[in-house]
Amino acid sequence: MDQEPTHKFIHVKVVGQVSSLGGELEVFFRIKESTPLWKLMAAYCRRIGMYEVQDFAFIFDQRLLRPHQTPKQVHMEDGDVIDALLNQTGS
Amino acid sequence: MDLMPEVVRPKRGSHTDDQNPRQQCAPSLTMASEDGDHGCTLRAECAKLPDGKLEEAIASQRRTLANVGSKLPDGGRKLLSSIAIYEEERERRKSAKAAMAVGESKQFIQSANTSTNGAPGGSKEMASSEIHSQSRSGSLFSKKMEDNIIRLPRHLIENYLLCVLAALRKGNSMRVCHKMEGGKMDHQKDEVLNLLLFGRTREFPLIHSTLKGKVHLDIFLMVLLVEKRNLQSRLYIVSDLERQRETVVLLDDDDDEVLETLDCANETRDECLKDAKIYYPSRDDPECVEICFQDIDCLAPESFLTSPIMNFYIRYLEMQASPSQKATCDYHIFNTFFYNKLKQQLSRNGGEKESLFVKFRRWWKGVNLFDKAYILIPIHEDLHWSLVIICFPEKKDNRSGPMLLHLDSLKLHYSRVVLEDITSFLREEWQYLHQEVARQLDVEISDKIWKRLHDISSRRIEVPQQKNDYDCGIFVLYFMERFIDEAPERLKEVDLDMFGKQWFKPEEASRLRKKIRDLLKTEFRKLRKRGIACESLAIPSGGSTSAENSNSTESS
Repeated sequence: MDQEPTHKFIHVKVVGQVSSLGGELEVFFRIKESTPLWKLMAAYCRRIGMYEVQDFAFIFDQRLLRPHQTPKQVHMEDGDVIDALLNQTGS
Repeated sequence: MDLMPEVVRPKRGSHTDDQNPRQQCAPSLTMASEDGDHGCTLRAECAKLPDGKLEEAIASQRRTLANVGSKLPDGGRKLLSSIAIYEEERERRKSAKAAMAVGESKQFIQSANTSTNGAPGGSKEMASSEIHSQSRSGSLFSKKMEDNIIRLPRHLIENYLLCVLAALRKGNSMRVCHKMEGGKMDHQKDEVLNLLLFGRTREFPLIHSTLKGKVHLDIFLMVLLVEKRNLQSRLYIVSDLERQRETVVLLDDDDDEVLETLDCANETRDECLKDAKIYYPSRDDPECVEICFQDIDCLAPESFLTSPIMNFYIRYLEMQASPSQKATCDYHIFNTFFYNKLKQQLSRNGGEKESLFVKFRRWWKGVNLFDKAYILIPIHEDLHWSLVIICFPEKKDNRSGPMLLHLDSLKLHYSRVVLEDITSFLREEWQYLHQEVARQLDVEISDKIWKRLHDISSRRIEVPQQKNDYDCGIFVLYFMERFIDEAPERLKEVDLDMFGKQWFKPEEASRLRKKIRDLLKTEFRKLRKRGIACESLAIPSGGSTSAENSNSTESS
């Protein structure tokens, strides 16, 4: 984890599917660099409604984001985009 | 936040002017105005029918429509609209029943203006609370909504949801819908909405015209999604009906079928491991995958594989193939989300596209795709998994270009579409690199190789077929495993014999299910031994994160 919590805010965008049928939604977040990402994930899901955090794969630069990670740890910068893709299932 | 300003708000008059019988009955949303009187009387009529009679009436009208509908002077329009009224009434009764059964009738704000005020007490199933809420007519677009978002009439949402559920289950309609993404074909998007949402749009002139105008699918879905509470109770209804062995009739007429019970919870699990997570290959690996204990559930017999498990095994295969360095490995396997993202990328157009592609390239950061022998791309679409393999020829080989192979254990995906997508992806990447090379001359790639890389051939490969409707994910993983095992250094056309229907027995693939489960179970057991099984990062579901939420702004 971070040694010293920073108070620098960054703005990130979460672009997500709202249904497996398609349709996209963009939600902008202002988040501290030292804030664990689960807060953002939870807030995103609340905004979307209907889905839980575990229904989504939050992806940043092809990496799956983990809830306890902070923007700083994954080198997220101002203006970065996170993909929220619904977990897939299939026959 | 006002996502749909004015769009579905009916004329004020239709709510307040209770003196006018016609306006009272003719709902502003569901009936074409010229059909108003007809609809009004019909509504009153059908409200009086007992349940059985109502079903009969619907069935008989449907038969009539099927037999002579096209010969009628109005093409069966009127008949259709009466059927709609009957069905609406039936839906309403069902919701009322289920609402009572679930004991959440308070949550059901019936769309007051579509109901049968003309014949109070006509349907004895009407929950008292519902009548109560009807008296507050206009609550449909109630102002004291928490979300400030205009709500749609309940039955529309219900119908829509039923259709979505059905589509999800059957995997139909979705193909059409996928193509709609990205606004490439806006008018077709409308068609899909018509198809999916209304089935018979004529009865919804207001909504219909609204959608034609400005409301996009996403916004529309958003509106549906903020109906979280309602949707949830709808899900209860579905499972409730299931329990009663009733059939939920779907809006697209020939789709009569029982919807599956949706809550499959209540499974007793190892309490200690319930919230446990493992990280593979390790917690510190930048590209590690996270697997929850619950994810193992999808490896139970006859279950559909989910993306966490798929991505876990993909990572596992990568580790087997080249435990040390991903960049120098002969194989590159994309994760399951790549293809979705790619389609998103391809659907964009205009000036932004190039900059977006640069961003998209982060998905294979540090990997030169054209250096690889093989690239494996799992395809997920329409609730089905399949696999694309890109085979690059040797650098020295000047004659043959890259070969794209599509392996589908059900032949469900449109190989042509999938392969075209991948082809255009390769071209785009090729073009990008070509420009890069031109810009900085320190990379030397001869023109011949560039030309050859451009010469892409693609085909669908015959592979063993699954004998059931739940093993496709397993098959994709097994295709990967076998391919990595058996493929020569570089695949040439003559080597394609390695595939074929007899490549392996379907049972062999099915066995992989148990193997993966054992693998994961072992990992979890290790975790428990280390005594950190419960290091779950419990995500509070309450309002403790409201600070973040208030910081967020929304764009539409």
